[in-house]
Order: sequence, then C-alpha cells, then structure tokens
Amino acid sequence: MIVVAPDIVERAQKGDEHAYTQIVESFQTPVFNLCFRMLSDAKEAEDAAQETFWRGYQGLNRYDNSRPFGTWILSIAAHHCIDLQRKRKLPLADIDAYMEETEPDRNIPNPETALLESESQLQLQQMLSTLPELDRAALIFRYWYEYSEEEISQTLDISVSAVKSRLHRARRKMANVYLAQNPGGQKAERMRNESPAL
Amino acid sequence: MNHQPYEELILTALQLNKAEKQQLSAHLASCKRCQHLVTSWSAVESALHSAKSVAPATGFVSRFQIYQQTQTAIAHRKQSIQSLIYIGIAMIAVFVASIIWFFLSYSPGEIIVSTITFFSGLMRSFTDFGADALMLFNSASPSVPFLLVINIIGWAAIIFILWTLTIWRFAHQGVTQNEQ
Repeated sequence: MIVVAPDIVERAQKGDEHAYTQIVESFQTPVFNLCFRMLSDAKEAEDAAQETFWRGYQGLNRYDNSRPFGTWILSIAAHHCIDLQRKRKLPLADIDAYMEETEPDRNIPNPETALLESESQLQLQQMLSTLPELDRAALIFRYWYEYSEEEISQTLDISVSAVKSRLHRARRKMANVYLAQNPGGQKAERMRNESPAL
Repeated sequence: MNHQPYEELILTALQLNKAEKQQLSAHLASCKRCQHLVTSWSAVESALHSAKSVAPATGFVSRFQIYQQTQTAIAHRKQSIQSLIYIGIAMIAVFVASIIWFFLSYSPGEIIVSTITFFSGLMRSFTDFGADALMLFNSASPSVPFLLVINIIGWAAIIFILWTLTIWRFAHQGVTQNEQ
C-alpha cells in the first residue's frame, strides 16, 4: 500500500494545496481503481474519484494522523460509491469505454493478450456487478488491496463477523455466477485451476 | 445432504489442515454440486488474484485541480447565500418581534392617533424646510451663485483631466496586468 509522508499530510491540513496535489498524485490509482471496480464505468469512476479527493480535502481536519492515510481516503471512496450505487441502478461495464478511458497499471505485451485480458477483466467486472454494494466493497478490499478482515471492518464501518459473512457470501455468489456463465468449461477449468483448499 | 460445512471449507481463505482436506476429498468424491463449486471458485479466485489495478486516464491531477476550483467557488457561493438567508431570517424575526411588541404595547386608537400625528408632523417639517431654504437663498450675498458656478466648473475640469490621463495611459501602456 502507498504510504504518504506525515509532513505532507500535515502541510495539506494547514491548507497547502501543493501538498494535497502530491497526495492526489500518489493515491489516484488506488482510489480510481476502487471506484471503477465498484461502479463498473470509467466516466463515473473518474467523477467518483474526484469527488472522493474533494471530500478528503474538505475533511482533512477530521483526519486522524495515527491511521494510514490510504485507509482513510479509500474509506471515503468506498462509502461514496456505495451511496451512488444505492441511488441508482448501474449499467454493466462498457468494454470500449474501459479500453479508451483508462490505462492499465503496467504495460501489456501484445494485442492478443490485451484482448484476452480485457475480456477476462470484463467478465470479472460483470461478476462483481452482480454483488450487493457492501459485499463487493469487502471483496475488492480483500483481493485488490489485500486488506485483512479487521482492516475491511474499519474501512467499511461494519463488524469483523459481518465482513466474514459478506466475504463468504460474495465468494459463493461469484462462483455461482461463473458456473452459470461457463456451464461447459467446468472440467477443463478444474484441471487448470485446482482449488487452493485442496 | 448438508453442503454448508463443505462450502465453507471450499470458500475459506485459510489453509485447510489434513483432517479437513480428507473430509472434503471424501465429500467431493460423491457430490457433483460441491465439485462444481470447487471448479468455479478456483477459476474466480485465480481471476481475482491476477486482476490488475486500473489507473485513471492521463491528466487526472489537472482535472482534479479544475474540479477543486469549481467546487471551492460553489462552496463560497453557497456560504454567501446561506449567510444572506440567515441575515434575512434574523431581520424578519426582529421585525416580527417589533410588530408584536408594538401591537401588544399600544391600543389600536393610540396607533391611529400616533400615525396621523407622525404624518402631519412630517408634512409640516417638509413645508417649513422649503420656506427656510427659500429665505436663505433670498438673504444670501449676490456673489453666491457666481461662486457656485465656479465650483462646478472647477470639479468638471479636474474630472476631465483625470479621464484624459487615464485614456493616455491605456493608449500608451496597454492593459498589461490583464495580459499577464
């Protein structure tokens, strides 16, 4: 996880806009990624990420310095995206918009791989969009940000047992959606991907 | 058959111990439903682990700075409107309180008499002021109108010079501050 120097946060809290710009520069990808995974739309994710940083800027005085800044700003982003989702029904991910409006985090070796990757990403995004907002947020924090159950509980303001049950429910739902989307490929998939539980 | 304990073993993020593995293997040998769950969850978990972070389009920070400026302007405007509303409410409250106090303190008869007295006093003051001004003008020295005209011409000349100087400055130096 990205760590921002405490003096930069302190300077930003004192009203230094340049220091806050540095913070935005550091956290733009994690915040945008969370918004994109939550909202499944690049344009809406951009708006949500900007609103997150604006809310962060307004609430800097309420930020507790003992807590990692990343957790705090991602918590704002998650709650904002959950609110947005509750306000309206979301469309499914648009692959063209995804390819045009966003940049992958690292270089893609060739167009064929890029297509396969984007297709699998799209499928993953579609599966994510079937989950309820809080379940999705918990899953995103677990797999993209490698948060522990305690960290997820702090970020989403829910109990650890609620996080556990939401993660379990999300995993089962994702597996069922995958099964419904790929009814023929179960045997082959099983041979390629043995369960980590076994 | 109760699948729940096996589902929990399949979907857990923790490593299973030997006994749990044996228990699950024995169940999977006879349960198609849990076999499918293992297969599909393995594929999904693999996709989740290999998923990359998505970065915003280039220039996000610049776009945020524009957004920040817009939001700051909106916040200031909102604050000004709020302040005006509060001042307005306070003034209305004071006015209403005064009206209530006034009507509670005086009877309707007293209010009518006071109103008539006030307006008639106002009319009398206006008439007296007009008469006083006319008397002052008549008793003034004959040089007063001349001094008045001189005064007006003097101020007009000062304003004309200032205006000419301003035009000259803009014509020769341009609006450099705005260009910067």
